[in-house]
Amino acid sequence: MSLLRCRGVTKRFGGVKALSEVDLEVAAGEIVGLVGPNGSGKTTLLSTIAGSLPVTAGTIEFDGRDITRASAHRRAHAGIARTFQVPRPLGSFTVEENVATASMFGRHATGRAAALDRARDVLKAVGLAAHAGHAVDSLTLHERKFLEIARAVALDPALILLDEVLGGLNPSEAALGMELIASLRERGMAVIYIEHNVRAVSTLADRMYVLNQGQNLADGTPADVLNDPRVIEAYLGGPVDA
Amino acid sequence: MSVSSLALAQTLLNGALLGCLFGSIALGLSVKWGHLGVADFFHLSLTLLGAYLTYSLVTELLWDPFLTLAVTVPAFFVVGVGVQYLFHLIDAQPFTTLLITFALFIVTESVVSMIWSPDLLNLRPLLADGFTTSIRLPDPLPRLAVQPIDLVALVCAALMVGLATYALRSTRAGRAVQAMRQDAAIAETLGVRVLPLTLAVSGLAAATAAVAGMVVSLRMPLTPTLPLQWIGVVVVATMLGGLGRPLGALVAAVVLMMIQNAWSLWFPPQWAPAVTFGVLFLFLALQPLTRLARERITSGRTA
Ligand SMILES: Nc1ncnc2c1ncn2[C@@H]1O[C@H](COP(=O)(O)OP(=O)(O)OP(=O)(O)O)[C@@H](O)[C@H]1O
Ligand SMILES: [Mg+2]
Repeated sequence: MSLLRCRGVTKRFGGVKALSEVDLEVAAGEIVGLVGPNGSGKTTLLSTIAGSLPVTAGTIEFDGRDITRASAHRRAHAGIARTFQVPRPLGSFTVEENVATASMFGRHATGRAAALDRARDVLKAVGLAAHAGHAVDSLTLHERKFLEIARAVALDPALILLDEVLGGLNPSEAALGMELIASLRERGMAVIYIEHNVRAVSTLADRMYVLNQGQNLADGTPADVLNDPRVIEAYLGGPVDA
Repeated sequence: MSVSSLALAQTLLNGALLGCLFGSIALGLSVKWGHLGVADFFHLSLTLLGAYLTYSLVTELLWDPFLTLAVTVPAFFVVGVGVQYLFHLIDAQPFTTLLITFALFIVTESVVSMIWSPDLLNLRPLLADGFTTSIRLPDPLPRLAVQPIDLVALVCAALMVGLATYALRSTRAGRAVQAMRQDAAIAETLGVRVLPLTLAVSGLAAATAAVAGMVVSLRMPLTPTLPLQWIGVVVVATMLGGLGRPLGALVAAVVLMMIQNAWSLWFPPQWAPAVTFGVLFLFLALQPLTRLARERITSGRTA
């Protein structure tokens, strides 16, 4: 049985149809890559799954329950966590307080001391232990992106939604990030992983979905998807790894 | 004109104690403004309503003034929740909330005039002597006089501001409020139940107006226009104290009232309220300079 099932998800912003009739499924513990050109609706789809945006039409099921109309905090408690494409740390909290907030109010809500302990563990796992007590504005872009991941992990989710967490990172930082994402699957989390770099996605993902202009274009194993002529067409008519 | 140091001390003490009352009014305004983004003028009207309700319950039903809190505190909590829920329903932007609370502020003045008359109503003649006769501070302290009701104001302000400060800084709910204040959408994705939290904060802030209103009814004669006399000190104290910081608002209110009272010893008392705005003006004018200095210092530290 799939953990997440989106059926016919449609999202309109006034006249703009950002998503039309999108289907997507994720099984427990798998990494699903979500790719597509700029403006194809990847972030919008992720926001409808996390409950940050209401859908215009369609249904979203999680863990066998219909969550289409559930608020974002109920989805967080049900086991869905997300990151933001542009990191949005809570600016007057320290790094560890940002992460502890997720442990305090997330799926297995705890007291403040226990939440801080848990936050330090998670920060160690993402390599930010040295920054635990620092202000967030002392972090570099790559550290902010990893803080986004840490905060999502601290919710202890069954499904984690990563929106371009490796975008703008240098190759060694990106390599660290890929290890980190693979380790999430080892911990039993399912991952939806949005990235511009199709190569990076295909090495990590068990399956991939391609969106184009708000519609499903293709899905399947990375090899199938990368060789799909429609996908090659969508990426400026050139081969994907060019 | 020379003023004895004892008279000056007495004047400053009176100012500080009156400042405690304004600080407990500013508490609710500061919390709603700082944490919910609602600059709630209606909070002053609620305080006035609290005072009039106390007056009626004491004079008509002969209740003990403190007992009235058993009715007014829960009632005001419900009002606070209701107003915030309305803002939620209409998805009110900050400017809309300002217009609505300002409209309620104006309407309340007329409603109070209609129900209780525009004349002065005074609870003090009905109070037991113990409430109204001044007492002298005990021996090692300077020979200053205080009114028992001012001590009630002091205790109420200290209790409410202390509890609010503790709750905001050190409790789980306080952490949730701080997260919500910074970015409500992020707080929600981290599992914070934002709507119930805003309702509770608004309800509790409104409930403090019931307590402040009771103190008002014991402290001064009531007229429907009282909020217009308070608004300067209360708003300025809220801003000087830092939005969302009840302790800051209380300290600012106490200092402002001490300055106002001291001013009246030497200068025309009718200008005293202007002193409050003078302090605000100075603060706002100096703020860019202090910010610049702070940035200089911190950037020097991290560089
Ligand atoms: N809040 C919004 N209001 C109006 N239009 C929006 C909003 N958010 C997204 N859109 C539009 O919806 C479409 C899809 O945007 P989305 O951000 O989901 O794309 P994306 O695939 O994440 O792109 P990118 O790779 O650049 O991050 C775009 O045309 C965008 O302009
Ligand atoms: Mg995007």
